[in-house]
Amino acid sequence: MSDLAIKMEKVSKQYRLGQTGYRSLREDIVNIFMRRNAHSECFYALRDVSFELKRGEAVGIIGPNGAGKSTILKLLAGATKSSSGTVMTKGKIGAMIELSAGFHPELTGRENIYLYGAIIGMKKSDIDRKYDEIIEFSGLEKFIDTPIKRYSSGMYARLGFSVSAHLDPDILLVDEVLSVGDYIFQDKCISKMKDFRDSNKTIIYVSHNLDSVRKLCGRAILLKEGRVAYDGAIEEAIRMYYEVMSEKQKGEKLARSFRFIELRLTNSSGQEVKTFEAGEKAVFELKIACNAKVESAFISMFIRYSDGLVVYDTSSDLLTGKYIICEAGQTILVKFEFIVNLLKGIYSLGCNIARSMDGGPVEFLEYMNNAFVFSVKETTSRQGIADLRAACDIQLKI
Amino acid sequence: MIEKIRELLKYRELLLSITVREIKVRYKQSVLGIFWSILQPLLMMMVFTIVFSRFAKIPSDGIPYPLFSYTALLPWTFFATSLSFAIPSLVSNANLLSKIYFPREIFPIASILAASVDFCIAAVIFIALLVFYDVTLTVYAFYVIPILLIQVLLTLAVALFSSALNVFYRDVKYALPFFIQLWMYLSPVIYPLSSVPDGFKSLYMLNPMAPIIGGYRKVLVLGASPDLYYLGISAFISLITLFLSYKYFKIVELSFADKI
Repeated sequence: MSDLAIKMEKVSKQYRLGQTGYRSLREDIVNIFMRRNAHSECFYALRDVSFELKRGEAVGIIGPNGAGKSTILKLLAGATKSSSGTVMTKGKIGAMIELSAGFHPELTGRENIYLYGAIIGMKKSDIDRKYDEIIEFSGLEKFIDTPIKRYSSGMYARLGFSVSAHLDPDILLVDEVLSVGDYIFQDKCISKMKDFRDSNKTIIYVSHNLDSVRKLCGRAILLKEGRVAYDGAIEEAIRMYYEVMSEKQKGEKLARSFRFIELRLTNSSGQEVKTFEAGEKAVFELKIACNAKVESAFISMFIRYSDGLVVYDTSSDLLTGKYIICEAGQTILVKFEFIVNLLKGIYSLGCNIARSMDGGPVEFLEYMNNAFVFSVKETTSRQGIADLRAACDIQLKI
Repeated sequence: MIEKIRELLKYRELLLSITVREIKVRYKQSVLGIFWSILQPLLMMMVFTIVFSRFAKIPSDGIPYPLFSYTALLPWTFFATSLSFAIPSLVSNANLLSKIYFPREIFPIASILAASVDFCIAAVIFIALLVFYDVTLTVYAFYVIPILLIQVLLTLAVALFSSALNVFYRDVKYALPFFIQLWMYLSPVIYPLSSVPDGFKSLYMLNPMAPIIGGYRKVLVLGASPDLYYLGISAFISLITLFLSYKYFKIVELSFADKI
């Protein structure tokens, strides 16, 4: 087919376990004399992976850590070679990959734009032409002549992303670059990638942020332990991803004594919602299975702003004045009520179960960092996060 | 091979950017900055003059010893600085190598280019010495161009091979300073070529740096023709080793990302 952009056929990538890549000469010599091979154990980062992408397609690659997502990007970018199988790409490849190594901390933002651009394959004349656009996109005008060692990690990422967003390849490889930076910047990046997709370019997008994958891609490939577990419609891929993740978590948490059975976030009339009006009442209900006898358990809930800042954090023991005492086989039902005195924005709600050890250190038993993501709607143009219910009084006197 | 070189040429803008980065970054946050590139051979020259000329009475073919030693120290420092920056260059850019593709030889080459800037600055002192000691250049001075070219080819050969080897064996990094020092003693930097016993000379001259260093003195300070026979051997060795080490580099390049 002529409009094929990427084709991977039965691709496997094998790494040797046991030692990090480099060795010392002495070890090698010893190994030769001892007639032993220290690197006999192998590990497949990818196994028999096959898929095709047509030009103009945007495909998400999702999967738990270590499933082989980054290895696919490395193979497509040509940084490494497959152990077997064939990798075919057509056209110029651009990578939006976390490449802070491409930056030099002593150089200014401006100097780094040129350096980074050259590294990801832009010509100097291209950068010259798009320079103003790049800076505007990054929102870093004020700091552009400052050595970037004074930048925050978010600013680093923004600078890098802004340069690569102005690259003009046929195939765009995007790695988890969006995890840094606030959501406004993230939205900007997503819409930039959408433009890209709509101009008939091919995108491979690797992310843990399923929501952004859904925004961009109609199709996703789910990887599990180096194999393609699913390749098809995004919604189904995400559903299977959660299944894989909960399988994985079950495996990891088998020994743990608590498990969330059901979590609900509703408004005051009991409807599950994803958007609240500022000042509305919210109800957060948890159903927890208890498999051990614990005498000093407590449940916490916390709300984070989209940049990770904890807006609010409270717990059952603080609110009720006592710990939960429970027996194995019991189910704990917890209900938090709170007023969404927050301003416009996107927030996440998380929870955890912990127990206090003799009033001293706390042991976490189970947690769910992003149980819900909700947005707050508001019509006034107040700025910030918290609604402090400000009042104002003005008097004019002669 | 030709194809690889053509590909490298396509990436010349990247090579330039990396070189510029090397140069800009080298002396950031140092008080003396770029003066270090002059200070290094200059201080060496002073110490050598005191120790080897005054104390040890090493002959210098009738050339004033400061000029005698600086003529050798200037290209030698270029050689040594190039290697000491080129050899760890792949490993220190591991993060880039493991994520995207471009010809990997860009890093060692950029290190050599950056070192050549130091070389040019330090060459100013050499010119000052020529004026100070009232040396008249002859037409043989033009030989400095091919000699320098041979030196660059040799530097490239050593840098490509060793930087790639350093990816697999970090021993290279530790052996390097020692190795460079040893090499200097086996080259006519401190003493003149004429001090080498005749019986040893043909063996001694197999060190490609020997005719190079000896050549600079002959064509620039003594105003004579270089020893073309030995220089030819040196050029031959440099070319062959460059060919082999580039070939080696290109073969093992594929596994850098996995091994680094």
